Amino acid sequence: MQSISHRAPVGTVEVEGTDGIDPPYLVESYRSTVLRTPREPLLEMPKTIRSLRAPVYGYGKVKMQNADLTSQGAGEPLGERIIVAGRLMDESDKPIPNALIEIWQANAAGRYAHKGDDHSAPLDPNFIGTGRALTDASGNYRFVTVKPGAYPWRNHANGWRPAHIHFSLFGLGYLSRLITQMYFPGDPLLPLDPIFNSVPSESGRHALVSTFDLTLTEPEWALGYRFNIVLRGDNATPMEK
Amino acid sequence: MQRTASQTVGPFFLDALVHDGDELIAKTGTAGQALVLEGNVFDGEGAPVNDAILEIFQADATGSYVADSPDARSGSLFTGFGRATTDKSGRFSFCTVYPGVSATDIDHAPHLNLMVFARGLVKPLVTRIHFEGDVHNAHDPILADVPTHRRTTLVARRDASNDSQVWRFDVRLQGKDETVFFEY
Ligand SMILES: [Fe+3]
Repeated sequence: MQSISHRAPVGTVEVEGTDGIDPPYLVESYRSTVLRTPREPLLEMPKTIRSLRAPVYGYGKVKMQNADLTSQGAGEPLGERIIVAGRLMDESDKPIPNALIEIWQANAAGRYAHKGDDHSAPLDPNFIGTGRALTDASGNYRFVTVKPGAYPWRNHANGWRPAHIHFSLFGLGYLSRLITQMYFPGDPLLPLDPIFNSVPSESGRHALVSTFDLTLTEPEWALGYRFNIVLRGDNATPMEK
Repeated sequence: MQRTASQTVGPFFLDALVHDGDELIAKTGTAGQALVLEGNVFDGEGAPVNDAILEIFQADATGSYVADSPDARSGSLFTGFGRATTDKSGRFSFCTVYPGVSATDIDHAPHLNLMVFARGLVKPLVTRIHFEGDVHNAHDPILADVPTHRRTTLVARRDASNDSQVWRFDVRLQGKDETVFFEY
């Protein structure tokens, strides 16, 4: 198994059996993987699973205001208001319409509204930090939120997660299912983060970093960040070699 | 186009991903044999994994997946998909119906498709839950592919000490009796 140094995000790490995109299960610099990684060989994915369409979930629960994380409290949350938007596609460049996207994030101070988060940064009574949206007919989505703060974790000495937004996505096939994290350009914590650097290839990591986009930016209101997402195609083969 | 990489769900997904009733895959009145699936998730040292989220996707009692139906998005009793998190002891449960044999995969025994996400899992773990004593297990090609000594890790057992609708399926991420997982 391959371990990724969090000091040296080399672009040439290719783990046998992966395409350089998804991390290997065992990432020794990310300590929680050590006791949660299977050690037995994985079996080839059965066709009965590969060929399944995606589950139908959550469409009925999505309302317009779910995509605006700044309007869920009595007042506006503190922090830098941002727009996060992009397009959901599959590997053959086909947009994925009407797909459920769920996001969650820390507040501007780097604290989750979650009972398990004991970071001493303040909670924001006006920020829950969860959102849901459906992609439109062209696969586009758009959230309004605040820029999340970096937060400490106890993975290693003086460890801090770079600012990130968690994304959960459904595509067309069962194996299109993806949970990932979106990062921000220029974050000095990125080269130090074992989770970000668990992605073996430079291009795979690069694709997790959103880009500042002036065309998404709304004058005198909010900066725009673009994050396009590409899911496995329908009936795709996992771990193409 | 290059796929977007998987990243861990982390420990703080609770309010975002889990809502009341998500563990209810079949509501009261769904055709079929009621089934409660209970189990615990353990790590490589046998410690409970108290921050996992499990997703089940399954066929209904006739072997059909909801996504096969054009009416899938209208509110039906059977959703075919559920989510549950683990509690302090790593325990989860789902309420559903016993799945049928799928018309497109008639050689496969009835099963539930399971994805496990957790802190420390950089991508999901995917497996199938079969049912002890099902006559179709004998000719299931996936069970046949699994080394005999590991086959039981894919099989839920009826909980004799409890209501007969309750089946037990533990997920062991690593180590002794490690669950068989598929390449994702
Ligand atoms: Fe996070």
